[in-house]
Amino acid sequence: MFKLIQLEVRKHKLFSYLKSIIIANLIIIATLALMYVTSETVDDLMFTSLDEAFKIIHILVKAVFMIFTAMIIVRVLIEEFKMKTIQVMFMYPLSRRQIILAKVMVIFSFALITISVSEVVLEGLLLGVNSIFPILTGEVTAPFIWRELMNIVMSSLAAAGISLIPIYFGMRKYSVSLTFISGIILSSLFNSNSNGYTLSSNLWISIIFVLIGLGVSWITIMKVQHKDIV
Amino acid sequence: MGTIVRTRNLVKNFKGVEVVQNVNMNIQQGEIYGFLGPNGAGKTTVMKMLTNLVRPTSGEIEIFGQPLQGESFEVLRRMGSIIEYPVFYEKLTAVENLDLHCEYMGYYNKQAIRDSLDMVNLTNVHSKSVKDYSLGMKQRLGIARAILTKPEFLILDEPINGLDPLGIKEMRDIFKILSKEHGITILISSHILAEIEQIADTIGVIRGGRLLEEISMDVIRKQSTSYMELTISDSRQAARVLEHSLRISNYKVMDEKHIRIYEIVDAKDLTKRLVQEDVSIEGLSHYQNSLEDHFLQLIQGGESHV
Repeated sequence: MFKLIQLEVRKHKLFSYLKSIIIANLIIIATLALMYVTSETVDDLMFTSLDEAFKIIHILVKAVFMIFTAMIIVRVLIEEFKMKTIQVMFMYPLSRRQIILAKVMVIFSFALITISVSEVVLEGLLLGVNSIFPILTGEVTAPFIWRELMNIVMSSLAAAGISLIPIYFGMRKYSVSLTFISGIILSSLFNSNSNGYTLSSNLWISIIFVLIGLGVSWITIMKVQHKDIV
Repeated sequence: MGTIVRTRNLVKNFKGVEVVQNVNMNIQQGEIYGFLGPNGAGKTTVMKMLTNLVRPTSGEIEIFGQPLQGESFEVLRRMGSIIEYPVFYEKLTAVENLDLHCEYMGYYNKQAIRDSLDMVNLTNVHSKSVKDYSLGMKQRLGIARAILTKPEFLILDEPINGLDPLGIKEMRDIFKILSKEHGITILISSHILAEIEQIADTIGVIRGGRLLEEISMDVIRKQSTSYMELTISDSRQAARVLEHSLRISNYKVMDEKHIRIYEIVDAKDLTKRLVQEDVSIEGLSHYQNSLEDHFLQLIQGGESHV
């Protein structure tokens, strides 16, 4: 299985996305700074504490990378079916289900890693800047950091699970655009912020959608066994 | 000599249409089996069923003596194939594609990649990604990939599609070498009869989803006859001359102006006699019944000549 995952990364040149990922992070920092500065000029600061700033980072990172993951779904899964290279894959001495499982794991890991690492890096950066120019309130203690790390781990896992949902839409007609659109809608739905409340802050809603994401992937893996590839 | 492939009453239904009907196919080890049929006859569908890309509606398939089931995949290790047209990862180069093939097949001889590229004459393509390849190049790469692991059983769906005459000859030689020197069993489909005629040991003719005939080339060759065709002004009069003066009985009157003689006759004698009896001769040629005639006869349901 590990070998299959490795081959997927090699085949689709997934490391070439590193540059775009870094650029995305830079844009998020810029957006954050912009939000602060413009809200300062109207005397209605968007965020004053570290906690609030962190919340906004979570929203931005997840929004961006959930859509990014939709693109990875297209590259790794949908395109293989559309371009019929999956025909070649299914003629190898490998279980069809294992092949698709490896792809789903690549997609899930991509979401998980990009989201969690970006959040850690950006928040770390913010803490660094804040220690030099203390703009935001909040005490940086060990339990504070621990709590935040746990938060990141949990919420990234949930976001990664939800990022799998566009698989369902993409696999219906092997449509690239449908995958993207569903990714964008899903991302907006989950991460849009009104008064500090996002859909993802509700634990039950997150759990339900993560289960949907996992369920959709499981069905795809099971169904592929008996599909005629014409 | 074992049976590499055997299908029994193989049927495939697509949306209510029976595209493959009761096909009973037998491919012996080490032979080149030519799969002949018009477009849409079901050749590709049968080949997809042999590689488990498509599951049969009913019927059995045995490959290497083992029944092929929905979950079977180990047997694919011993097979190589091109089905329809070869597909690749377009953004990668030839070597990268073939390297992936080796990894997935669990084949670790990297020298084999160089060897098969040389065999199909695909050199000087190091940094070109497959998306920039011509049809002929893709076809060659497809064949290179199929033969890369020297599989025991090779399935080739119209492999000379898109190749120029030189390429066709090269491929023909490669297939012959693979069969005779490496003992590889080859299933090759085509509708270019002249090609199949030259390399196949056994021919399976398929039309409308039915396997009409499975026959060895030796038998067809024995059946084929050479004949002489006469073009004259009046075939009935000429026939009389043949019967009475020349005592030739093995002939067929095709139409008013044409007669075919299936015996060995001296042409000079024949023409002299006919002229003497006032039959004007417009032409005289030698022919050989070929696979094409046999095939066309089969396809047209025996609407043969008078």
